[in-house]
Amino acid sequence: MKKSEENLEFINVEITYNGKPVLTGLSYNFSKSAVTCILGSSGSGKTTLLRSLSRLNDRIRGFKVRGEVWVAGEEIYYNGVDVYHLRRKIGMIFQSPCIFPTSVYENVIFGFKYHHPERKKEFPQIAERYLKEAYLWDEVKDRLQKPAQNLSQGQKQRLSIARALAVEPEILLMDEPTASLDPVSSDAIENLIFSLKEKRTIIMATHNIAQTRRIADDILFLYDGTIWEQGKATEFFERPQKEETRIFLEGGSSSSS
Amino acid sequence: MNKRMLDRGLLGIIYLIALVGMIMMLAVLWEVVRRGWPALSLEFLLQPSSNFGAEGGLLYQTLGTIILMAAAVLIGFPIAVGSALFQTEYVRSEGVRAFFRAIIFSLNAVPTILFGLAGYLFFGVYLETGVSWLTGALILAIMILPTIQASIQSSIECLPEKYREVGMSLGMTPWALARRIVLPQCWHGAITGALLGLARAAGETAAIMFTAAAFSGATWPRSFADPVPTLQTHILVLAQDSADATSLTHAWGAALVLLAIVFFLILTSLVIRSRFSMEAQR
Repeated sequence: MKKSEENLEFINVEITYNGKPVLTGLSYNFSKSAVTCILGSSGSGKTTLLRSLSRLNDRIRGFKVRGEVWVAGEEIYYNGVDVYHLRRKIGMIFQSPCIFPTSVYENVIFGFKYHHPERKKEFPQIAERYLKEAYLWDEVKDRLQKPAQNLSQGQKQRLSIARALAVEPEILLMDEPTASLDPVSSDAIENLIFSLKEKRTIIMATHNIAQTRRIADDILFLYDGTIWEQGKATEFFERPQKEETRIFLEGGSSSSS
Repeated sequence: MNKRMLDRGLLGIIYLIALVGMIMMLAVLWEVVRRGWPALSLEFLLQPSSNFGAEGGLLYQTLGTIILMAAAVLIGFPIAVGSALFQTEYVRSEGVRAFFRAIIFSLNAVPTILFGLAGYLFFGVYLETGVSWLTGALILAIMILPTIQASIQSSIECLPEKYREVGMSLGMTPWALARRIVLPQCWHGAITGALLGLARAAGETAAIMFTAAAFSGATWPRSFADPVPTLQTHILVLAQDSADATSLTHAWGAALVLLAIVFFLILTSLVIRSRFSMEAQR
């Protein structure tokens, strides 16, 4: 069966680790050019779900996915899938920014340089374009050749977003991207997410309810290894259907704002 | 005895053992420097030896040792890098990894004379290559492989997994991860390994005695099949002639030169390891 090129969907997916189910009965169709937040308490499987979309758990022994995971018209756990090409289409931003011990410039063009070594002349424009898109250009334009390790934590996270964007992904996965940042840097990342969703589908794992209220279009609430509730963000926050969701939202509201 | 006293007692024993080790090493160093120093001069370092080493200098012996060391590392280094990358980046099964590790490290435990004997039988007798510097370098390369690999592998295993994950998320293949992420951040381990390998090769006598070294008459090798004189075997020959005071002084002089080479390599590897590993992990 062939799906549409824009399709991003789980169909009856079960994810196990060493035979033990981590997520079960997952069926969900993600909206295009929207921000979908995966909410849930720690250990609910948010990161596992996110990483399964770009097969980042393939290196982990004992990790298995059953069911169908469709990305851009392809069932990605099918044997013949080019996993490297898949990961180019799906960018990933990790919880704490991981910057290579080299210059800001080398960091931002790292992935692009690998995929397009022949387009050497474009490297400076690519660096500028994506640093601008990540709202980092003004802060680093005078120190592009300086070590990226000297940037602040918030700047490093935006640099890692610029690096991921430079590979031109259609979908961006974000695993609690503001968890290790101060409020000012978090605001900068939130604004960035708003501007990015015009062109890309964004899926973000978080347990920050206040932030989810501000940026989410759709919500997936994970509880006990399954999708407990799903739907439009406004409805989810105004009329939660289940008791567990209400408890999570009330408990979370008091701890994160 | 309370716990505090026991703790102090054990600490004292540890210090004492360390002190004994250090004193022994310093005593050996002092003896080599004291006895070898009178032999050292510019002529001794730059002139070829004559009269079976009793006269002249160490020029060709030093060159021979350097040739063997360098060739052994040139052969062993790429194999060690490949083997370390294979084990850390490609093999996922812990059992297979442990198997490879056991093989590599048991090479370390093989007495060096066995390498020499096996090399002599395989190359010298079976392949009829005779005594040649290339044969010696090949045997030394196999011998120093565990030393180089252990250093590279430990620095690769110290690299946080997050770097690989970033590379994977950017669509890189395992080979690209190894080449563009793992190796650039672990090169200090590779350089350290190479230098330690060089140092080990420099100190080796038994493995090259039958296969690569000429005890007298050889100079600069003109083909792959030529033997070379080495500092190690030169010391052996001179030390056997203990009745002659000049020969003995020359033997100590040669020992001092060899020790200086090994010391310099180990010191450089320590500096590289401490400076660059800190930089890589910043």
